[in-house]
Parts: sequence; C-alpha cells; structure tokens
Amino acid sequence: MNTSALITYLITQILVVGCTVYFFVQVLKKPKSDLK
Amino acid sequence: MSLEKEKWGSRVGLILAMAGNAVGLGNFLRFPVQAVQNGGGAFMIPYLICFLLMGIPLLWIEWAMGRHGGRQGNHSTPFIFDSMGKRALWKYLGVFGIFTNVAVACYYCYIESWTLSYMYHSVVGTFSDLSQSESAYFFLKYIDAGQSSTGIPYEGVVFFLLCLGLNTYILSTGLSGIEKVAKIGVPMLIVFGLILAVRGLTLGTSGASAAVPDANAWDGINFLWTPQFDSLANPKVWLAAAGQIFFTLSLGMGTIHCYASYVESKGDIALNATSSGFVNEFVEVVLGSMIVIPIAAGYLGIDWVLDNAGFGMAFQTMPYLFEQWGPILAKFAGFFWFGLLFFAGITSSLAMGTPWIGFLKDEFKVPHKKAALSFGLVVLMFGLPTVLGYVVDYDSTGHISFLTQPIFDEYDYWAGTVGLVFFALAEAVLFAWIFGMKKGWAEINLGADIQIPKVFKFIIQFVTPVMLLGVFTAALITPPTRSVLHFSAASKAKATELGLMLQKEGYGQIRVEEEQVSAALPKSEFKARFASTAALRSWVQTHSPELGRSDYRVEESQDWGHELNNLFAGKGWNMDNSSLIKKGMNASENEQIEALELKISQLNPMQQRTEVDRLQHELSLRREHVLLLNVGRTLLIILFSGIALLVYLASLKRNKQNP
Repeated sequence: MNTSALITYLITQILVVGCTVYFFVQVLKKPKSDLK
Repeated sequence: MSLEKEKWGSRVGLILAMAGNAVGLGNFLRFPVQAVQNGGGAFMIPYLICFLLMGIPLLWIEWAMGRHGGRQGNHSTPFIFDSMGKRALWKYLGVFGIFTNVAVACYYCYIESWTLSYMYHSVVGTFSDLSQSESAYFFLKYIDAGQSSTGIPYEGVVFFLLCLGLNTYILSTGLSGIEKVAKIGVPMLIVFGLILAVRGLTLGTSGASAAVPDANAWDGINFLWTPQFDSLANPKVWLAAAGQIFFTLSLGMGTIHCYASYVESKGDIALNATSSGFVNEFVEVVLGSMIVIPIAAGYLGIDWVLDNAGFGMAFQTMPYLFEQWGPILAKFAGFFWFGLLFFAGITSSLAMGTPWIGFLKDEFKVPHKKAALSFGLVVLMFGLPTVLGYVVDYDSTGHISFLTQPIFDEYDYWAGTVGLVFFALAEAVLFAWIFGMKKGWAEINLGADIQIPKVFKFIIQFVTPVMLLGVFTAALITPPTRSVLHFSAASKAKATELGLMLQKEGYGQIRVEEEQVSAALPKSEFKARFASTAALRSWVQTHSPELGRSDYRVEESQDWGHELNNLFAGKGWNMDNSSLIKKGMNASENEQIEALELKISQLNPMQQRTEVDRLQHELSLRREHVLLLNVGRTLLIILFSGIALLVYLASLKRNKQNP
C-alpha cells in the first residue's frame, strides 16, 4: 500500500471503528434506556 | 390508535434492527464503486462531511418524528406528518413514506431472491466448471425468467416467491420477529464480511495468472484509498458522496420513522440513532471497501475493475473469482458472500413492510397478520412486473445479445432514488420550519443519553435542508457529463503535449491549471475513442512510454460553471440525459430510437435488406423497452394514488370519530 493510501485508510478506519465502538459501548452501559 | 401497543424487546435489538434496515446491498456493492469512480481516498472527505452534516442530522430528525408520532399512536408517515404540520399537504407528502417502501420492496425482494438463489448455486457447485464469461452469462440467463438452470420452471420467479413468502411470514410475527432476524442477521453478515475482507487484504499478487500477470489486490486497495485532492473541486464527487450517504442510511424512506414510533415516549433517540448510523458506517467503510474491489483487482487487474466496476460484479464476477480458491473454499466463500448479501437485504426489506402494516393497523384496525399478508400480496402484484418485465433477444448462436429490465429500472429510479430525496427534503422543512426548531430540538434531546452539540441545531435548521435542496436541484438539472483526463504536475510538460495532441484529434479543449493539465472530452466521445482503460493506457504508452500508471487518471465531471455562464449569457442550460427532467422525457431512449430510424431511412431497402432487417429488429426491441418503461411508470402512479386514496379514507374516518 502506498503511503498516502495507508494514511487515508488508517485515519478513516480509526475514525469509523473508534466512533462505532464508543457509541455502542454507551448503549451497552444503559441497555434498558428505551424501556424507561 | 393501535389496538395493542407493540414495542421493542431490547435496546440492542432496536439498534440492530435499525442498523439492519440501513445496511443493505449498497454497502457492499454501491459504496466501493462510488469511491472508485469519484477520486478514491478523496471521496472519503465529502463522504464523511455529508455523513456529519446530512446523514446524522436526518437520522435524528427521522427518529424524533417517529417517536413523536408513536406517542400519539401514529406509526406511518402520513399521520406522523399530519401531527406536525396543520396543512393537509403534509399528510399527502407523508404518503411517500409508505409508497416508497412498497415500490422499493417490489424490486428489492427480487434482488434478495438472487442472493438466495446464488447461495444455493454456490453450495451445489453450479459455478465450479464455469469460465469467467460463462459465470457472467449465467446471471443474464437467470434474469430471463423463462430459462432455468435447476430444472425448476421459471426459477427466478420461484425464488422471488420464496423470498417474498419468507419476508411476509417474518413480518407477520411482529416486531419480535424482526428483532430476532436482526439479532442473528447483522452479526452474521459482519462475521461473513470480516472473513472475506481478511481474504481481500491478504490476497496480494497470489491471484495473478498468465492472462493477467500484473493482477494485484493492493492495486485495488491503493486505488480506493489514494486521495486525489483535486477531485474535491468536482461537484459531481460531492453529489455522489451525498447520494451515497442518503442511500446507505436508508434516509427518506419512512422506515426509520416507523421503527422509531415503537420506542417508548421518553426513551433515548439521540444515542440510538447515532449508534445505528455508525454500525452502518462500520459495515460500509471497513467491510464494504475490502471485499469486491481488492478481490476483483487481485484476479482480474485494476484496469478491469475500472472498466467494469458496478452492481453486476457481485453476481457476474464474484462466483468465478471464488472458484479460483479451490472447490471447497469456493463453496464456503460463495455461501458467505451471498449469505452476507441476503442478510443485508432481508433486514432492509423487512423494514420496508412495517410502515404499510402500521398504517393499516392504526387506521383500519386490520389485524397484524392480515396486514402483513396484504403487504405480501401488494408486493407480489406490483413486484411480479419487475421480474417478468424484461426485454431479451438472442443472437444466431443462441447467446443473449440484448437484455434490459425497464420496469425494475423505473421503480429503482423514481421510487428508490428521486422519491427518497424529495421526501427527505419535505421532512427536513417540516421538522425545522413548520413544526419548529425549538420544539424539534427539544424532541431530539428528550431522554437523550448523549449531549448533542448545540451547533447541530443550526445545522438541522439551515445546513441539512440546503444540502438536500442542492442534491435535489442537481438531480433535476444535471449538466452534461464529460470525461476529464488528468495528467499530474510531475509530468506537466509531457502532459501538455499529450493534451494538445488530444485537442488536435478533436477531443475538446485542454485546460492547464497550476497543479495539473486536463483534457475534457464529452463522455460519449471519450468512450468511443477509448473503449477501455487498456485502450487509453495503450494510447498514452504509444505517445509517451515514460508515463507511469499513476501519472494520469480519468474522472467524470459535470461543468456547472460552464452551464451557469451559458445561462447568464442567455444560451440556456444543457442537461445530461441522466437528469430527472430528461429521464422523465425518456430522452436517452428517444435519441436511440431516432438515431435508428434515421439510419434505416438512409439505407436502401432493396440493396441492404439484411442490414435494414437487423436495424428494424433493434428498433422494435428499443420500442418495447420504452413501452415497458411507461408501464412501470403507470404502475407507480397507480400505487401512489391507491395509497393516497387510503390516506384520504383514513382522514374521513378520523374526522368522523373526532369531528
């Protein structure tokens, strides 16, 4: 993989995976929230 | 209004159902193709900006509208809209939130049935002895519903019925059934996707063959992720990014409203919406980009990918590529790939059934099972024409020489594309300007488990509607598309020489800018001149052997500035045949018919009988195609009018009950 592709790839993946995990963890912390 | 108050069993189930609704075939098939065609890595910048400024705000709007409607017993958009805007207009704009789902389900269930059928064919080894062209041809024959590869007559129709039956059955089990499918389907498709993505990442040059010695999966990955920053100045790239965000999140359909209407009245929607949106992005950006393009480039080379990137790759090319992994692995890979697409499809098509069911239950007190059955019957009635409404012709050797699916295409364009943008624009205006941003903001934040930055209040009120208006206007009057051949600054002198050579050959004007030299040619002429990427490479290599593959690239562009200048100079506005207005007039088809008629009139029927007969035959096929396009359009009008009539009757009923 060339350098610029690698940088774009890594930034995008970290951003998307990071946010997905962060928000999903927030949900798991309050699993019953929609039933209150 | 509902007799019984249904609700989601768990928060994770709700988010997976919402994510399953959003994750569809487009995540794996549309996204990588859009990225390849719109500047590779640079596409991600407008894509992520559109996600933040249009995708996430629209998710919040739709969830908030849905929960607001659900609180008052409304589970479909006509009466959700009615509860937020006083004018009857909003109620009838809300009809789109049922109509679009039914119309899209008509052809979506058909695509879903292809994945089911291909799972079966992968496991029984149908593709094991097929060459690349035979594998591609298998799909074309499958579309011709009269053909059969299993001995089952009308195989395509049988799988469609099977798929529709399965959808109807699951829908009849209510939210709990949908939740169960989402809890199984979404994790399964992520697991299948991960397995295939790892293969895409590790394929490297191992797929190279004597026919394609330079095939390399990394070329695909590099092409997908190398940023071409000058693409950011191309409006077409921004429109493509906005369009992709729209379709991938299933916005503007009415399904999110319906699902959210079953959330408890003070349950969180801010975190739920954000979370489901990001699960979809994970599947699209992380998995979707790592399967089709790298695997195809790994076996067939990047040039082949650039020339053939499209929806058909999933069914026409992937089975052949999997066969290169050996008979056992091919069965597993085929099962994983088409299984992944099937789960992505069914979790979306189930969502499409819920607004119809919710509407019948709310307004006419139809029992749930009967409402689900009626959805199945309506989709069968309006969906069968998409399966059987094709035009096919065989050449003298018995091979398919002409194949189109006009009704399928009409449904996809008017309901699955235009309808979504129009509906989303209407809902954004209703939410921010009619219902009011103060109430809207309070609705989004009610019971919120995350703090939404206040800047989004401004974004929802101004930025999102303006972006939607931009997307809609751009679709309405799209200017002609040109192919632009970019030469990088590294070889500027040579690039200028090549550009001038192209100009001399009559292919438009070259443009020398600070960073690059580009030669813009009308798309059709460019395609005629360079039928394939290989032909272009060969032309560049002949005139300038020292130029490498990365020194030039082709991009499609729409010159908005040029058309604006024309407009202000009183020369009018030229539109591409893909613009909404020209599509509505069947401009492209009519041009083809006129060209054929002109050719026939210029021939001597006595001396050139064979050629005249051939052209006459092609003319009759083209006319049949236009006839079916109009049939498709008529069916859509009937469907919309029928639903609007039901909404009118429901209004009368409500007025009687609450005078």
